[in-house]
Amino acid sequence: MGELEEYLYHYFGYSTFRNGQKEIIEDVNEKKDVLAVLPTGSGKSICYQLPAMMNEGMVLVVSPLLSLMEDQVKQMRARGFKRVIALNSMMAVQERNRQIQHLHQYQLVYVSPEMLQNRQLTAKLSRMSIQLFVIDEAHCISQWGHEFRPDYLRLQSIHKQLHAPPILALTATATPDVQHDIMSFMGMRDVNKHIHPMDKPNIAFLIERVNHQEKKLDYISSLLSSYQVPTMIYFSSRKEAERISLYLDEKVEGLRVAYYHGGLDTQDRILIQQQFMYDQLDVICCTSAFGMGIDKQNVRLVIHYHMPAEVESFIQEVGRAGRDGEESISVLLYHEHDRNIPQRLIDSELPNQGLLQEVVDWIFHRQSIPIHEVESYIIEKTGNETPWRFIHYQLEQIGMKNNSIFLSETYSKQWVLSQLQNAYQQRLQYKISKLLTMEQWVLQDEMCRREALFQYFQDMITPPNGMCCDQCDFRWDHWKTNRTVNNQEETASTWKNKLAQLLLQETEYEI
Amino acid sequence: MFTYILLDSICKLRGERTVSNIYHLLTAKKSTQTIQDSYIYQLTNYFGIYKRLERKTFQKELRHLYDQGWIEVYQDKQVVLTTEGRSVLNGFDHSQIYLNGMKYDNHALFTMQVIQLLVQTCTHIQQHHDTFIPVVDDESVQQKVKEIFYYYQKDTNTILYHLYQELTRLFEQAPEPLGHLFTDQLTTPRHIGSSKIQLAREYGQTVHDMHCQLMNLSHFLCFAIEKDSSVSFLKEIVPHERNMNLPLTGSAQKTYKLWQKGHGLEMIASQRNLKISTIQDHMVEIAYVVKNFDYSPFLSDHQLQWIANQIDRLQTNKLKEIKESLDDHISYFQIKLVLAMSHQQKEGVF
Repeated sequence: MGELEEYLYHYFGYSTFRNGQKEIIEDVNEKKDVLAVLPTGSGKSICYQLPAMMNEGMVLVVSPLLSLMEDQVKQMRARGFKRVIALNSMMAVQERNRQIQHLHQYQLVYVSPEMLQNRQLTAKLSRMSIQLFVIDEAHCISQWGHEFRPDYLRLQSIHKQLHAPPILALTATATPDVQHDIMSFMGMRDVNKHIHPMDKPNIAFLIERVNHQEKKLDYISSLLSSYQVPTMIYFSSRKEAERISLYLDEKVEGLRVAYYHGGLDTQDRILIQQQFMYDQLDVICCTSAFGMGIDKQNVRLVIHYHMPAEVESFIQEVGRAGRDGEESISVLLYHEHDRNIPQRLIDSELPNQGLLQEVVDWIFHRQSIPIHEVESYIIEKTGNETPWRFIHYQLEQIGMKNNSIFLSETYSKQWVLSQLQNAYQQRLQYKISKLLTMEQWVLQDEMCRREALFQYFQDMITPPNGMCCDQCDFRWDHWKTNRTVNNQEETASTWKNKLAQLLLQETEYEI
Repeated sequence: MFTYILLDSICKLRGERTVSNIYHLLTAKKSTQTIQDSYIYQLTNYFGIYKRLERKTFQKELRHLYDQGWIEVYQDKQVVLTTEGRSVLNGFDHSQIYLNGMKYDNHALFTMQVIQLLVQTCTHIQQHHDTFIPVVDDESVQQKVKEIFYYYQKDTNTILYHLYQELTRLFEQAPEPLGHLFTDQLTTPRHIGSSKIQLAREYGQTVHDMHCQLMNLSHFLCFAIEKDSSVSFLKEIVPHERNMNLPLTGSAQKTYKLWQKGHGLEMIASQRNLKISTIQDHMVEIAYVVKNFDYSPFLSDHQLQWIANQIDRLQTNKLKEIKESLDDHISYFQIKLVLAMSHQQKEGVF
């Protein structure tokens, strides 16, 4: 066993690395700048977790996904590594300040990009020795990334402020353009690139077009009646996820179904996740909120009840199937009205014309206005953070931001408004083109689905090691898969017996 | 149970308050007004029992009550029960409700979660599963469970045995579903507990009803642990420390601290840069919860007696009516203080 493998075994209990991990860690340990594009589920996080555990100095991870950060902190603590913490802006101020003061006690620190605007935090960080600056979901830096996040554009100056430690930029999906953007924006030199293909040879692709929405239900229920296997069904609305979950629960005998979305209590979310992890549930009806922090190996079916708004999300979600390498299947259901759903999501992500006008009027009327006032107004009004991030970034670019206020002096109102509107139009066009690309893939019938899907990201596809797609060779009756083992114990009839069964399993007291 | 709580709240408010007041009560929006109202209308039991309730959902539920013909809503959003609503309310069996929001508030959920996490921890360690994802996220709960675990020197058998003994004892005296609900939620290495939504489905209830049921369960636990002298293990691990945190708004807390140091109202107002009327509101809040409240700077004994007598005679909570029955020099502030103190005498709270 090599030295790195020994560390891996010691901290994680695995004796070998997965594809690509070792090479990345070696480069990281040599203090090189690294760009890594690794498919979902290939264990990206180990690439910085292991260096954090084995080397001196702190590893700082910037990630936009709060739930993912928290899941990872939990998993690391569960493994016995306690010097890990996640800071986000949702915490109470006092608690956060206390944690910032004690930051030097941690080896691995996760922060959200908006936290890096906190001066107390950056001041503390700049006094510490940081061995590695990790940018998770690095595609957010690029305007051409599907999830562009304006606050990622501050990473450049913050990286300098922290005395420019080596960078590890990680993402699961990045076209060559996006890769270029990341490296040039962060000023990464002599970059060691590790670009891995995003296609997995054990996933087959299937598209099922229906002429009536309710036919999707028939399709899924008959599919799940024949295959009781670990399944994720993705929806673009919470309501639909709930409705279909209840429908399947009633319709398919013996199937164990639950739904999961961002509206559930924290405790319910943990319980449902864990039930799915331990095969206590067969099917999860979920929104994109589910799955990021989950390391379930045996998901066999990923069904998209609605088409996602872009190919990148689709690939990420499909990538949660078959992590154990067993043959797994992606099914996308499509009805011609489905294009309206992502269209609506796009609308809700961008501030509409009326709101732009209103905000500009407001700032020019007041002449100077605290940023947080504008922030809470927009978030309250739209129920979504993305429009706010958009406006904030645009005003900052124009130069109206002065510390914590927006100032209107020296600008013409008409000019500011037209700048915002142009930016809005550009973003909208971009989002719509993404959506069209997704839909094109769904509607094309000439090419192999696998080739068509990955053509934007890589030149070659890995030959599938099972079936390929419904254009090539897919047949349900050629799918060999096993039913989920129902490991539920017989439960006792009265609560008292059950309580004894749960609490006194290994003790020999008389009951 | 949720319907019962809504109807009961509407009934007790007697049309003197709006629906928003009920919403603030259930979600524990800690404003002086909400706290005072909950005392005046004897609604302290429901204080903060549904903190995550969304306003949209709340309005939908009220709409439902309205469609059933159980409530009537006036122009100015005040709400009353119809005759039918009243008979529906009377038809509920409320003997199994242990809710005591103002008293147990956050302590109830804490107690419940400590026990749940303790069970998960001990059963996992006992069966040599050293790593697991805790079912409870809350830092303070995790800390508490750690303390207990080390205090008992990691003796999982003993902890689980005590838990079994005492929980069985408590739930044997409880209404039937509580023991079931409690055990269904537990997580051990062989079985992950049921979520609230799953329980609601299993018991054929709405998620809101199940939420209230589970709150009721946690309040029952607190109540029973406090009352039953034989459950010494539970008493030790999750004691209910009274007066640790008086149920006051944050701002009233600050006023109270200054007041205890001997600062007068004017001084507090100028120090805190607040209006004197705000500080007076804080004093009223304090008068509801602090035992032996020293009223002498604000009221003579004679005034106290006089106001109390008028309130007694008029049998109303309407400040205006009370004020009109007294001399002009008696202020609203003084009346509110007397209402607060007489409430404490009646209820013997805290």
